[in-house]
Amino acid sequence: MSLPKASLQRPRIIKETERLVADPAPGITAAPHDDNLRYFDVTIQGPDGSPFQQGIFKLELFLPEEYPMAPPKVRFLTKIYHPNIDKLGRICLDILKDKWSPALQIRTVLLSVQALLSAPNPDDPLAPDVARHYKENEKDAQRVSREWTQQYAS
Amino acid sequence: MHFSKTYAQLLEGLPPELSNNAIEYRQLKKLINQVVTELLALGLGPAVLHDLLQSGTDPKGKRREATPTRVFYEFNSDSGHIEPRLRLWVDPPVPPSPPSRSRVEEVDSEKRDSRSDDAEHVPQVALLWALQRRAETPEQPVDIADKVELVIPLASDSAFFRLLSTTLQALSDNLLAIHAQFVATLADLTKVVSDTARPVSSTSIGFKAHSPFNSDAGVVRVDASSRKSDLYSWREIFQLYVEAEIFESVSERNRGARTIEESETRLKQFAERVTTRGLGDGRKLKLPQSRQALESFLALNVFILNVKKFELANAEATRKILKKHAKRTALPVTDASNTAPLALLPASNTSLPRILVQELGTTLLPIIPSLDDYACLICTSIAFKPIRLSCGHLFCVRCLVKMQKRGQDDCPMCRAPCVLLADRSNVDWAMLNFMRDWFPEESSVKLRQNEQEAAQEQLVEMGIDPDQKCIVM
Repeated sequence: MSLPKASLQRPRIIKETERLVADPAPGITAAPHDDNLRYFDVTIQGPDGSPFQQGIFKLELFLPEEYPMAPPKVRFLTKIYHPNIDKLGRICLDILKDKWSPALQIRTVLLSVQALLSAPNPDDPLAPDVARHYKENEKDAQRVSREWTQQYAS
Repeated sequence: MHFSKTYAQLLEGLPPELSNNAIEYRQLKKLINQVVTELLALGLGPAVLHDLLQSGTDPKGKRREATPTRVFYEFNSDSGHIEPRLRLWVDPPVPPSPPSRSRVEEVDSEKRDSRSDDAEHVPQVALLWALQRRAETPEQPVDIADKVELVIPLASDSAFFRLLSTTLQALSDNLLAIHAQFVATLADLTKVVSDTARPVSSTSIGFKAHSPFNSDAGVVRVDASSRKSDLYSWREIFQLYVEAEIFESVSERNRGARTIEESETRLKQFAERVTTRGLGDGRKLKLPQSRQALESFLALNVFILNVKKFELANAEATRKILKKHAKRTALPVTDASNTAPLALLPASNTSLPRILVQELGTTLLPIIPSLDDYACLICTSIAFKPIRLSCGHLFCVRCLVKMQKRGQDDCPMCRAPCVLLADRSNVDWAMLNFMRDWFPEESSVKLRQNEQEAAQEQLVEMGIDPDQKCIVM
């Protein structure tokens, strides 16, 4: 009698993980570690039409104890030439910081990161030299982004 | 295997209300043979006709500008029926010209209604000769003004299209009737389900309503003492049904309609899951009406599957018969450049199965409130107790207390600064009563969890580790 209810009362992290694995968003994969269900291996495909096209970028995602009250911690593991991502792979994205909302999810966060690859924002830089490059000569900066993508993300 | 055989076999497996209105494939095939005979009598066998029609178009189907088409296959639909005819231009007959042209009329005479003239009197030789001469010299520029324009109505071809058209019309009418019948059956079923899946407030247990002022603002009690409810079993059945995604997939990567085979497999799997969970018998469906209703629910799904099979087979039959028509007669019905006949045929409603599935989803399934619609977006379990923020968004009390403790003021949905303002007056009492009524088990489990969590937090705030078993004060 109580079997189905148990399945309806699963905690949020389990539900999110199940859906990420069973019905992944296009161009995104996320798999939890066996020994730590709060730690995810993530890949994001570079969006078509961006200099990161055809690249497969590896990321790590960690859900802190306070999640979903606090945002997940996300970091690029693959080197990437992008004005809002620094050498350590840290990402400058408002929803990962002050604009976080507990109604957001792992899925929506990763979709936002994917969108950031399509729309670099050099006015809010995390990597100042890359941002300057993008502002002064966008074409050339995109060429470097493409080169890095070929070199590191394929 | 011939398609006519495959088609006949498939129809045998379908209920008579469907198969009685099938396309008369064999009959249509016979009519095609008659068209061929008629054309042969005119000296227009498939080979001749093919050459004539081709000479007006280049191999890729585009019209050549230099050589005007000399033979057109066209459709007259003035009378409301499809009446195919050939329109062609030939050199004026070389004298001595044939005495009459009863079968072949000049267009400007507008005497098309006389097409029933006796075919045996047709003097075909001149026309045949003229046509062939033209075929031999296709490069020569043709000046239409010098030619005699001829129109040949095709009687058996008309019969072919009349039969096809009336069949398709009947088919479409029949599907409308089926739709109406389905809606009526579904309405009955919906009534039974809503009767057997009553909430707490209409069962013998009785229901205490809550209000801001009083913990039991009123008791709803139903007189009959034996009133049972299959609410939770029905909810589970519908949940399994939705998860089975029998007719349409809602996943991100392959959204859309499923194939018949896939639907059939998934319907079977759904039935199996219902059985293994014990939902198909008296163990979980306590009321006999419920068990009957489940049977009827499954029957409706089998029916949708049959309609889907039937429609697909009919579309295939229509396509095949038109293809056969084109192949045997060389008349370009299915030519991309000549879509007129297809546009004139009654459109078959290929989306009926989809409409029926939607009907199920909008009429029957919402009878039982689904937990997903009453979940807190933060913790994803039931939003109990429900707090309505001043911006209108609803969350569970626990999650909002946590946000308040962290000083987070923005509504998680709309970012309106109203979380810190929320207090006792934000409890949505109507929603609270609704949840206790329709989700009695989930709401009490959530309430217990909330209390445990709050107690633990209090201990932590006092500096005591709640996991520690024994505390010496």
